Amino acid sequence: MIWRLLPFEHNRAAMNMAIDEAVCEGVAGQRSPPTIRFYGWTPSAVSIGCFQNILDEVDVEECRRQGVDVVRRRTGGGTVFHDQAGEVTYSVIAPEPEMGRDILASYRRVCGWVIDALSDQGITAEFSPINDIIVNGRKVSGCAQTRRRGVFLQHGTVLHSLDAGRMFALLRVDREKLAQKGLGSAEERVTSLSELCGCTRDELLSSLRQAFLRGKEHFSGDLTSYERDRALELARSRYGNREWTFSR
Amino acid sequence: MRASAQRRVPGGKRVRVHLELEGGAVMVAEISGDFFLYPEDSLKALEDALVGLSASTTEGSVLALVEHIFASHNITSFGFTPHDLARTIWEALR
Repeated sequence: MIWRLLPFEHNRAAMNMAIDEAVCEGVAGQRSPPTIRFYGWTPSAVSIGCFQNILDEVDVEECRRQGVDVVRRRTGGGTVFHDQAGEVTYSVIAPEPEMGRDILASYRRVCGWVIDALSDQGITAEFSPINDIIVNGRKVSGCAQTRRRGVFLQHGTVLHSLDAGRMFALLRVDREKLAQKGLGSAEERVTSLSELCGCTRDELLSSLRQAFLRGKEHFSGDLTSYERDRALELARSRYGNREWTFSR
Repeated sequence: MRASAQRRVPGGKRVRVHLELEGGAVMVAEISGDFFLYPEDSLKALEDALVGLSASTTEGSVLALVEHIFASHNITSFGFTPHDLARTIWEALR
């Protein structure tokens, strides 16, 4: 199996989610190779899990006021603030048999690649099931996974720098969750690479690329014109569509 | 009448249940949260199964219904169990 590595690019939230789905469709139809992509969000965005009630989780009016995109993912999990300057997001898309049927094991496997990248930066991190990576009890990376039409997708984010005040102004913080984790404030629950080791985002990206591609035959490629056209269509019809975003 | 309940499963995820009740029965049901459910489309089957449920249903009956939908749709959940969901639904019904 030969993997494709897409170039790092920034997109609007709707396009980022649409690219993932367009590539998944391509893999399902055996038109696209298994794909790894790293990307950013411009403008900054909030993404919510496909099962979340948007008004329970996000201060939509504050997002609008600050020019922050809001998008509903096709994966479950929680609300994520994607800071334009402060994080790297990844997606891994492959035929399901390549990643195995055991869901928890595949979360652990891909998170292991992130942990290897952090180790490359001198940081000891650990997998915290089902979908977190923590350093000294604080979250530095989260992810979500779906499997549809025989295709595996896991996307996740690694925090490079953190504007916690802004993040928690946009999200409705779950105080019960913090209490269960023994944390007094939302800021205490998360950490970032700049706080832990001072590496640049490009250095983090380089470590992630190396760790994700280790042991994999791969090539550096672009989206096909079919994938990009389909992504533009999905960005318009689904991920940029208020009906989808506010569907629950 | 609108009724809601939620729980943060220890070591797990948040589950919220919003119900619209009319004449003592569920007319609309929404289950939401930061959990994972595979296959994702099965959430609608769970929500649809709650429509028509009586507000006086026992917790055991709700659990039996939820377990039936899990089995018939081959559902795998992470972050909550059928028991957590049934308890949350029952609390909303009360």
